[in-house]
Amino acid sequence: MSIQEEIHKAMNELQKKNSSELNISKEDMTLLFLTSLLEEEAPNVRK
Amino acid sequence: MSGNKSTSIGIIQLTRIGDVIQTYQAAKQLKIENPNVELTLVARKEFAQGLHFLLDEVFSHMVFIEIKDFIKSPSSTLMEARNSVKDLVTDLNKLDFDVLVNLSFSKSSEYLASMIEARHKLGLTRNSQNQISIEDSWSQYVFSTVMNSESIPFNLVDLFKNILGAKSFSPEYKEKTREDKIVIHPFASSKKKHWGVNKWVDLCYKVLKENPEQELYVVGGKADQTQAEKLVNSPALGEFSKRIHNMTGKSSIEETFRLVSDAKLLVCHDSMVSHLAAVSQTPTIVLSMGTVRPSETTPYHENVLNLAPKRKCFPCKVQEKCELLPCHKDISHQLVSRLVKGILNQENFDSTFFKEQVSPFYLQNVAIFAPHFSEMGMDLIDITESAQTVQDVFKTFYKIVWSFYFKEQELNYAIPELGKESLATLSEYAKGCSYIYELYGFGMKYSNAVIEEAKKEQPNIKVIQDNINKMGEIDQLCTVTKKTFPLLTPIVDFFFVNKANAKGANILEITQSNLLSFYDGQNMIKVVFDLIDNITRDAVGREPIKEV
Repeated sequence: MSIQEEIHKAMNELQKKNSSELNISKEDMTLLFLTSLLEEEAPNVRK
Repeated sequence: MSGNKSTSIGIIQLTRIGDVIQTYQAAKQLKIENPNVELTLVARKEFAQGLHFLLDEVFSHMVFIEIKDFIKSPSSTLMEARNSVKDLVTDLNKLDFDVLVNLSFSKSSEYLASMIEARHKLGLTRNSQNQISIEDSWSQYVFSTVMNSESIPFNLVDLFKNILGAKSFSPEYKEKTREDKIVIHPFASSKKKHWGVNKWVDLCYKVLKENPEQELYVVGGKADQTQAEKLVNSPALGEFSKRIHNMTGKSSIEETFRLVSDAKLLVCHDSMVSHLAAVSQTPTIVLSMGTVRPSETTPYHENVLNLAPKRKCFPCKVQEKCELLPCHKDISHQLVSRLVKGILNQENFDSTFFKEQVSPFYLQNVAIFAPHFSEMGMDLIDITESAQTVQDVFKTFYKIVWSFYFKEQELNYAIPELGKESLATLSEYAKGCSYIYELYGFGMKYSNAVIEEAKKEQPNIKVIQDNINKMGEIDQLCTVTKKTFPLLTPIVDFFFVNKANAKGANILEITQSNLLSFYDGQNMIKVVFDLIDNITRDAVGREPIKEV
């Protein structure tokens, strides 16, 4: 599994957790940070 | 922040180069006022690395990040990436921040700010439910209004200074000998903000012809090279080819800064080069168009003229499509070249100048703003003294009310003279103020009902829930009102965000904070009502504001 697939899978699990109103942990924050940084650095993002 | 112990402040700025320069300007002021403060900057490598020569002056530590720091190769695992993020956070935590300030409005910065430890946090972070959390009022203001409203009366550097707690000041102009060089940066990050090559060719032709002693330097990044080639190789400029120097894609940011610092003038769009010129206080003409909001982004120094279209759709929103770009035609190259000549000859841009030296045809659809600095920072004054629009009047209102609300500073402005149509529109807004005033009054009533019930030994949950539901309806009605009266959006949005970030550990404390928000909101809208009333009272009869 590539890192992109790993991130996608982990994000899906996190969204499920978030929708059931469970607190997100610092560990989750690292994933959210990575995902948002990836989005913001994507070549097609408006600069 | 006085005494012997140095205070450690971390500043997160993950947005573009221009924002990093504006952050540097605000942080520099904080450092001047508090020399013992130790500042750390966390920024994106792409946007901050080239600015080392400036940032070194102010920041004791700089941490530049990019996704490659965390995902080092295609075979990296998520675990490795997460560990790299944790290593970054651990390293930052070693700096033992007293205060962490997030000055960027991006998701990645919110998460990073949440992970770093600090005794106090300002700006956007995320709470344990993954919701945006903003504790300080200035950041609530920026979050609620800057991205959505055209009535922002504050420059971004002033907003950053206010969040950081630095005083506003007038940057002292230092006279220096400048070389016979005019620098142009005819590029921008989007088509809407960019005049286009043909208009720049017209301007360059006129400037080079009218100012034979000047050399022209074109600056820009690697991505601008094709357009720069088109410009400098235009047949119209053939006779001046020896006086045009194309530096696009060939100079570092530092080299561009040195060039701009020595030049007599910079002409550009809203871009990072204009902010570099602010640092070197190089006289600058900015051509604002499309989505640019001059009051927020005008380079922060005194020697600037910012030309902006006088058009209802200006400034437009990023997501709005526009094929014809009519605002680009509002700024004529003849006007710009006349101003270039005026700056080079140190002419006075007063009413006589505009009456005698510039055709009214070129001034018909353009405002020429010049900065004026006061205790609340930069104000933009239209030096052509053209009639104010209702939008301009609201900008002044907001400068008055926000300055008092956030800093208890009382500002005085002359009562504007408005045409009949503008007076009628402004008068309509008194009705909008009355509606919001009434709604906030009900908000106070329902908040008090919740507080009273919550204080009882055996509170009735249904009474509390009913009143909370009613407060929710108030938010909905405020949203409807702001659609009809869009210039009231900043107040409605600010107090919405302010209430959403209410302090408190239980329903009683949160409702007490909400009561205060409704109270402040009602006072603010009353002041706006009174200002409108002062201007329009004689022209239009009106009902007094209703008490709930």
